[in-house]
Amino acid sequence: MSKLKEPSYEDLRKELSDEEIAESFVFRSTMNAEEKKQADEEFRKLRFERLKEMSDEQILQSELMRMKLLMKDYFNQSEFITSYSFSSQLKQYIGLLKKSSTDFAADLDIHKTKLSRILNDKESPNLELMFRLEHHSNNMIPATYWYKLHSRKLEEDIKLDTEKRAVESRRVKNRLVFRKSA
Amino acid sequence: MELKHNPSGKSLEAAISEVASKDYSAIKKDSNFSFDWEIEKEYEVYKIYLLSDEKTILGLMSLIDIPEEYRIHLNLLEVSKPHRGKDKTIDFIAGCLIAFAAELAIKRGYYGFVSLEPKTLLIDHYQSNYGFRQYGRYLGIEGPASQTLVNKYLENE
Repeated sequence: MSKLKEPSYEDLRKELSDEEIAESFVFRSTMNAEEKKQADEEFRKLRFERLKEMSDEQILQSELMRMKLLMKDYFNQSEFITSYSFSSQLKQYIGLLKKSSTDFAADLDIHKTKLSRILNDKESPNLELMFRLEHHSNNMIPATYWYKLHSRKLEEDIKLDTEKRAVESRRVKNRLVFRKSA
Repeated sequence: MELKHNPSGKSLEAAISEVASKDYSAIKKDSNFSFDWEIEKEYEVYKIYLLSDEKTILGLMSLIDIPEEYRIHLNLLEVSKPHRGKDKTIDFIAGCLIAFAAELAIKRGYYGFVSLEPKTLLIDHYQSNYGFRQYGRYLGIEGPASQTLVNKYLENE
C-alpha cells in the first residue's frame, strides 16, 4: 500500500490532543529554503553561545557520562579492546580531571608509586580501588564498571598467556585422565 | 530499556536498532505508520520493538548527524497507531526513542545535544515532557536534561 498523503498536524489534531501528538510525533521541517536559512543562522548563533557558556563542571559531567556510556557499549560486545583496559580508562579518567597523578593518588589515598604501577599494567587493581573510584566520580562510573574492565583484560591475558600456562602445568600432579568414549 | 503495557501496568523489555534496508518495504505496507519513511533512508533511521516480538515495529525515528554544530537533529518520529492517544496499549515509546537520540549525542561528544523543529502548539509539551528549551525556531535538549532522559528511559540496561 502506497502512502500518497502524509498526515499533517492539523489532520492529527482531529483525533488527538496536542499532548498526545507530542507523545507520538516529531514532524519534518515545513520551512521553505529562506526561512530555514534564517532559522539555522539564528540557531547556530545561540548554539555556539551556549557552548562557550558551558562551565568546566558541565563539560566534565558530560564527558564522564560519555565515558560511562562508551564503557557500556564495550561491555555489550565480546572483544577485548586495548583502549578499554582498566589502565587505559583510568588514564582517560585522570585526563578528564586535568589532575596530576600525584594529586589523583592523594585523592584516592593510595601511594603514587602504586598508581603508577597500575597505570602501567605492572600491578592489578583491587576492589578497594574500584570502590574509591566509584565514590570519586560521584557514583557516575560504578565500581562494577571498573571491575568489568579489569576482568575483560584478565580473561584476555588468561587466553593468551601460553608461557604461564605451560609453567603452571608442570607443577600439577595427578591430572585427571578420561578414557575416550566410544 | 523498558516500555509500559498500559492495560496490565507491567514492564516490557524493548530494544532499539537501526532500520535495515529490508525493513523499509515492511514499513511501507504497515498501516500503523502514516509517513513515507523511505524519504528518510539517507539519514540514520531507528526502530523500537519488544524483545518478545522483534518483527512488530512500535516506533520509528530519523536522525541527522550535524557534527559541525555538535548536535543530532531529530528529523521525524512516529509512534505506531495502536500506541497513540488515550487508548494506547504501550507507553514510553517516544520517550525511549528521544532518550536514545540523547544517548547517541552524548556518545558522539555533542554534550547530549538533540534538536528538533516543533509545531508551535506542541512546544510546551516537548519542553515539559522531555526538557527541551528554545533555540530560535528550534528546540534543543542537552547536558543534564539529556542525562535525565537517558537515566529515566534507558538506564536499566
